[in-house]
Amino acid sequence: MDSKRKKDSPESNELTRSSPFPDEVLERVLGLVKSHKDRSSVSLVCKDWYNAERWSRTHVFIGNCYSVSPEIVARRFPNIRSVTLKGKPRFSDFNLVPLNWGADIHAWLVVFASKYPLLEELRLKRMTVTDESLEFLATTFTNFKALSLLSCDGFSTDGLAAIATHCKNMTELDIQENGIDDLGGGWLSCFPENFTSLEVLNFANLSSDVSFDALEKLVSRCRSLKFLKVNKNITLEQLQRLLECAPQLTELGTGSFHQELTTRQYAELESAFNNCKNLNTLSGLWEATPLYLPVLYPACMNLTFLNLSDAALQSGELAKLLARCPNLQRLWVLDTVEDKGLEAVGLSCPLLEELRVFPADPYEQDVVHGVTEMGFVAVSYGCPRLHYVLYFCRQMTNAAVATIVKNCPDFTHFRLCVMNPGEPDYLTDEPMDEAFGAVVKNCTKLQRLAVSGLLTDLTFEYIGKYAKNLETLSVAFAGSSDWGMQCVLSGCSKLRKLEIRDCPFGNEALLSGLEKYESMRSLWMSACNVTMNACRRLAKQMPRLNVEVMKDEESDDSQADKVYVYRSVAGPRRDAPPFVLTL
Amino acid sequence: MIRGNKILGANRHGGPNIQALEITHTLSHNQPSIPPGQIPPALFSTRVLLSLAHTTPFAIYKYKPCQTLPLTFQQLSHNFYEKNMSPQLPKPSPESSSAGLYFNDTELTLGLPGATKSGTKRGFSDTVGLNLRGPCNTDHASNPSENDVSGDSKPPPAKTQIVGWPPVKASRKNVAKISKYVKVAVDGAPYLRKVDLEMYGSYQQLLGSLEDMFSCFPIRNYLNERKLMDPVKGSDYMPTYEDRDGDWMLVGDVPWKMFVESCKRLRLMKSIEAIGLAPRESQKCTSTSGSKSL
Repeated sequence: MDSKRKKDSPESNELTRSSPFPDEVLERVLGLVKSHKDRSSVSLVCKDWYNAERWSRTHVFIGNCYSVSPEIVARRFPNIRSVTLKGKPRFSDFNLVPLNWGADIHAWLVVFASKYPLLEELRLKRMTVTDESLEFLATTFTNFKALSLLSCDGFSTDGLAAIATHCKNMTELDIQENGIDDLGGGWLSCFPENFTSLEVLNFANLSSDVSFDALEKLVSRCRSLKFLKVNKNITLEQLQRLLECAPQLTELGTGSFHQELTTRQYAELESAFNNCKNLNTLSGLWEATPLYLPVLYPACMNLTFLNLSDAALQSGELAKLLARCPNLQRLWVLDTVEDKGLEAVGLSCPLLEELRVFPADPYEQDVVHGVTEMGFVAVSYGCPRLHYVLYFCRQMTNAAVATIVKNCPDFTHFRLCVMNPGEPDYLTDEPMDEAFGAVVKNCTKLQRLAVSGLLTDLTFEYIGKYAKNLETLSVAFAGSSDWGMQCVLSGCSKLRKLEIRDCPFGNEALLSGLEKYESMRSLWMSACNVTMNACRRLAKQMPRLNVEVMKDEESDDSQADKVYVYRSVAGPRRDAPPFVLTL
Repeated sequence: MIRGNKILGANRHGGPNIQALEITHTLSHNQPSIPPGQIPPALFSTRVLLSLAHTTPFAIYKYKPCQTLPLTFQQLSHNFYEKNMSPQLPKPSPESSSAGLYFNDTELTLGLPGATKSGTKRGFSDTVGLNLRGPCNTDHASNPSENDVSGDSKPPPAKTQIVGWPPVKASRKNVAKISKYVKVAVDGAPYLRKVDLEMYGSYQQLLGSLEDMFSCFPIRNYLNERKLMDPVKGSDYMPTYEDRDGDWMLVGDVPWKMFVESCKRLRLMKSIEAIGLAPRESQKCTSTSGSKSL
């Protein structure tokens, strides 16, 4: 039930009403607007619309938890049922942010407990979540239904046990890629016997064994279960039994795909996959070998998303599998498939829109295999609809990238990581400027770009000049001078997130973006040439920005080693640890 | 042999408790021990043992003959401390048991300076450099990768790892395949190969891959054979492996996973040599590998 709202003064409603509709109708109509960007636009039209929008909004997305306070959110939006929150800067995924930096959910939960007692969904990314918070969540919000934790830290399986025990109406429990304390699989057994509402269960990231008996019973009684992603301790034999209980699954994450099966077991497994007529997403497949992949074949026809990034497949195996997946739209693989495997992608998956190639041995310097520019080019020829790419490789050429974007001009996300920092075009020995120049010139819809390789300021001139729709830019070990960064700040009008590490950009570049930063979500600069004084100047001139610095241990007093700048209506952080200096 | 120990001094200034022992070293088993300073430098080498009082192993610093002797204790202990306490110390070879201290090298042997022991891959004068402030120090300069922490856009030296690069999430790192590379030697081949046992799921796959790798050496795949070929007549090779106990075993007897765990290296042995290891016809291959037909 929506809380009753106080009417504004009746005169202003009648005399200055801009629309002939009663507020209730306006609210009902605006309630159908789902995208949070659209809703933000709606709220800017006029006061009536602002009010109608805020009363009808049920889901709020907060891209930076420190840009606003929970009190401000609650004041503006009284009827929220679903919250998405993102915390730490993205580079915390790569250990560039110390532990205990912050982004703790608890303060938010306390406010939500009083303002949104009927809260149903919580989706967190890069936040710190403790077991106490999970317990609080589970016991306070009686209507709680969906919990999704991605790249979070601070909790253990005990917290999950609390959720399983107390949340009677749980539909979604999605635990992905978190740094958690895995104390055991007993949490799964905490779901009560009469609990049947689960639709999404993802515990692929947890390493300890759950009771298979409890899992099987849970899957059997949750008839609406659609997404099931188990961890690698679940064997093929057990998987077969789960599939028998739940042929209605649309998304499946298998366990270990490597077990000695008898002929009969093999046939049963194949039959189980055959019965899963609705499967469109497949992942897991740890240790998959050519021997058992064929059991998947019956389920491949309808697959739209295949995540093989946990299975070190070779090119031959991949080719055979993909030959059966003509409807594939998204594919994630390890670079063990090599260029030959990617050729198979180009041949078999004409509808492909997204490709991610992860490195199997990212830290091995002497590795010669993996993928090269040839594989990427091959995919581009076969998959003209490709618009999202994340590609880790050890060599690339300007010419190859130019070919790729000519074949696929619709890129919205182009993330190329040449793994050796400062690596030039390996054929011509030139910088990779022209490669990214080609990307931004050809791909007018580009929203997200990650650059790598040997790059001069020219790359950034190109970006500033052509990438007019760019929202997110990641830069590492690139550029020649402040001019590069200045080009980006002045040219990319839609830029929201800029993350830079190990580049020769300094104070002039930082300060050239003074007005810009208020229109952006955040700026991260680490291991660049920025000084404390420049940061202080920035902080002084732009009071609505939070300018935070973290210093490295042996650094000069004047150097600002890690700088994080973001706009905020909540003022400076009150929970900053001692190593975060707010200027 | 240690002759003429002399404790040069102990560190009393706080910091690690270091004792330095000066040792003279005989040049050949015929010559008696000669105290330092009395023979031409070119024929003399001194090894100085430094130890931390609460750890047992010693490190040896080898002086080149042109260096001036004796050192002051201060210089000695300072350099030792730097080398062994610095976090950027190059990683010791796996055979050494104590981080930073090259235990292997405490074996004093008779030999001319510069003679490398068989079996050690690195001459340790490469790995441990004393930065004595003297004219002959240039080739003892510490390994550049120890001091060069990447901060510029210049590509770093090959062996150092940069924090957070490549940008791969931690969870993905853990999931990346554990590889088990083992050497594969074939009798008569000029060089060895390496294979990653984790890439395979069964003996069949492994042997198939080995056949591709060594295509001119036909490998006996006894797992599939109905008839036993006469090992003397055939030019076939038997796949054997060295297990963790150092024994040479015939490939195929134990379950695949057990094999992967215990295998240290592979050797394709000429069948002629393998008489005695060849299985009898009556021996059934156990159903332990994926060779079971599906």
